[in-house]
Amino acid sequence: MTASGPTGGPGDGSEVVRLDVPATADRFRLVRLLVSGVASQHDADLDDLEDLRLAVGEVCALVVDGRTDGERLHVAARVDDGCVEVSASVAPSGSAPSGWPGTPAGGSTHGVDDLVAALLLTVTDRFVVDRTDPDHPVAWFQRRLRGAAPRP
Amino acid sequence: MEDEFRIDVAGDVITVSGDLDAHTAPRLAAAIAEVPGGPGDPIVLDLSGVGFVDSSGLRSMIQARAAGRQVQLLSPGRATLRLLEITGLEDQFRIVP
Repeated sequence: MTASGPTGGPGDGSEVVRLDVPATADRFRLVRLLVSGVASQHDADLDDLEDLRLAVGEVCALVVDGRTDGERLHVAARVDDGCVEVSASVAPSGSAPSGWPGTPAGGSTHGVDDLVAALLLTVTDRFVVDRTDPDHPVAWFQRRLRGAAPRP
Repeated sequence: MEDEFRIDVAGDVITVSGDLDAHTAPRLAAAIAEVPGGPGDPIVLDLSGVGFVDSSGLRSMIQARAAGRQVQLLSPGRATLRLLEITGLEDQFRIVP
């Protein structure tokens, strides 16, 4: 397991926290804890934290589904001006991305199970799943913290 | 990381504690499948110790319903109730606070 602390340029208002773990479902709890911890440092309320944990679990499951041994789950989380962004992706071991991975340029919600889509549409403001490269699926979501006050 | 998930089965009562997610939901599904009985018979899921449940956990409960069992959710916590509310599935289960 590899965890990286906050990164981000001065003045850009965001800290990026990254986690690199085996792409297996038993690691999802750790990812949920990480994102909850990041959000709680930004005045997230209980509803925020519960919804974020749910969203994180679902996007991890979306990208890990069907993965083989030896692959890694990369999760990056940041909070900027009261808005949480989380990116989850899977890639072969040794290819951990650095910095903020960015919002997937392609992808959509097409092909996502109806139940999962309903959940993510409710607990996030926006989510995207990019399976353009089937060996490197990426899922991303954004959610404004209801409990956090935006910067003046 | 220590796994805190636990399932205890006593007759038609399954007590679940910990996080019910993609990793642990198969264990609940297996436990449900082992409960004696058939369509119309009850299954009680004591969820008082469940702090987190996602779509995987919910599917385990839905599968029990699909098999015709009368699924009763005992003392579901805030997270479980929130999930049922989001998915509109509160009416599919008998919820006992």
